[in-house]
Amino acid sequence: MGAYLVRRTISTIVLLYLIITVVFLLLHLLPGDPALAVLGGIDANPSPEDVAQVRERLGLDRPLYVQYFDYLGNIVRLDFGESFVNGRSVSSDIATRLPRTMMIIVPAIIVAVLVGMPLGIIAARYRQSVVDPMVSSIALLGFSVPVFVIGLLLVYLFSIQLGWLPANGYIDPRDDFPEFLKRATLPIVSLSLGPMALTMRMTRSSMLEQLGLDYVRTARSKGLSELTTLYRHVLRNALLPIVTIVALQFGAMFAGSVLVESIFNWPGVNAYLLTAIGVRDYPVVQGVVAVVASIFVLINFLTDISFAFFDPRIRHD
Amino acid sequence: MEQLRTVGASTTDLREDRHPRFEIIRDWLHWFFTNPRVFISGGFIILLCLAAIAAPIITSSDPSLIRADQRLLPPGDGGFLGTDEFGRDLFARIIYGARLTMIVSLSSVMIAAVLGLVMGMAAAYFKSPTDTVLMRFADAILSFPPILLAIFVISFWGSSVINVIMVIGLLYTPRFQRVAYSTTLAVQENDYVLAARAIGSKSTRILRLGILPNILAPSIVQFSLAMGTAILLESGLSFLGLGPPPDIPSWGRSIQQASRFLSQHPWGVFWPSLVISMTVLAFNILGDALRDRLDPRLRS
Repeated sequence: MGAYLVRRTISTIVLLYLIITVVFLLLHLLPGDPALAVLGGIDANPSPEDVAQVRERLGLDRPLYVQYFDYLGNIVRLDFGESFVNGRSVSSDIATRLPRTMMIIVPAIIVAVLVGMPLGIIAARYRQSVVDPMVSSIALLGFSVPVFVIGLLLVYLFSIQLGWLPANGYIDPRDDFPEFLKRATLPIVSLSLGPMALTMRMTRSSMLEQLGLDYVRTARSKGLSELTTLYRHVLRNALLPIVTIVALQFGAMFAGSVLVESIFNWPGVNAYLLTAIGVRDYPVVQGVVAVVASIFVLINFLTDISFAFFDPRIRHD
Repeated sequence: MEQLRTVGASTTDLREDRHPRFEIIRDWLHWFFTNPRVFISGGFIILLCLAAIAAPIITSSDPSLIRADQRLLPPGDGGFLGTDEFGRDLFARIIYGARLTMIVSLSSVMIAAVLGLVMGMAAAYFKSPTDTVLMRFADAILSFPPILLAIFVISFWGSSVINVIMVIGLLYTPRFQRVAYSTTLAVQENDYVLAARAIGSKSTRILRLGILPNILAPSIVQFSLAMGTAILLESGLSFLGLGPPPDIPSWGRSIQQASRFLSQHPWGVFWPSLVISMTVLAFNILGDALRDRLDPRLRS
């Protein structure tokens, strides 16, 4: 276990380093001058002296490698510099906005698992009846409909037609928790449907694979009740692929949350990134991409580690 | 043993040895017409492709024609499906939008499939260091949430059709690469590959004739499923305004623009949403059906 842990840790650190470097290179090698953007873009027609001055103020006149090492050093200290546009600290802006994104992603994953897993178990258990094709078709629909279509459909139904829930906006849960819940419900539900469908499908196929094995027949023939067989034996063995899918869903959730934040005017980290990209705000883009990619890589790392912990065969690979 | 000859023999012998071609086609046609889910989903995709190609024949209206006196009309008035906020014909915009969707998703998935198959096979066949470099590349791409990378790259390259195709192609390469990699690892352990090596066949020949035919089946399944997600990604980017330029009709952008008029004119959101969902659903159903047919593990 020790050797495996060390190997995985090193490869995770290397991957993080690569991501951070690629982000830096992409930003600096792709066309578009942030100094111009700060001065109002090419249309504002700023004088070359102004541009040079801004470049100097932002440190963009230094050689690329100096900027690179400066950037690496700051990242280690979790300091992503200040926004080119409004001079605010990027780290503290991310610190306020990331939790808001997490406030819709994390509940959405929980909802997806809590609904998707039982549905998958039911579908596998009643494979011969109408229940399975019904649940499976709903699942297929669930990951075929784009998340922004689901979002708009929910807005139309629950905000415009029924008037039950507000269509957009965000309220700090510390100020008014019930109002926050009202506003977060639709984003969370729209985000959870896709992963719910995937969890359901994965649970179903994983359970079906296990149900065909000999130990299930043994368990049944020694007189165990159907519930005990399903939950104590089958589900335990079927859990590994299910956990993988749920963990991998995290990336898809981030993708979905970009669209959900845009529909519901949710001031999370994605909205922050989209605005920053529009105005070439390098430090903000670097900061957000580095943080999001790191979270993503760390989750994959934790998933792998927990596998090795639960399934000794992986350690010896 | 038949495969041993496939690798060693000349290509002319090979054709005689194979299952006669017309029989394979007949089997596939039989499969297509006797499976309702395949017939409906495949038929829908074929219809959509035909509509995209024959767009000017199907509808005489210009999808970009702005008619200020016919804004936000319900279906029936001012066109089969109604009009959008500029008075443009929604039916024409959806039919022309199919062109963009099909071109973008088909070309990007093609790029991904070719790159992924070559890189996956090469990584498995040539082992380290090719293996390490190529598979780390796949890991690096997979470690970014896909839409984040797409937004990031497109906002710097600019949002043209070509750029969207290239980004989606690049993002989907690792999927095919992984499928090709794991199947190649398994297939190349077969004796016939060893035999081909022993008689001095070139690596390219072994890969092309001995390994490629064996990894095609899982790749075809992957292709159909990737088409579905590529359409989702393209429409998502268009929805965020990062897709192709606004003068090209696109489903995702239509939804985004119509969403501002959701309360008074839901049709503008409804029709393109329905078409996107049905198209993705069709590719997913087709992918599932192909998997059932092609995956030997399920064929017992």
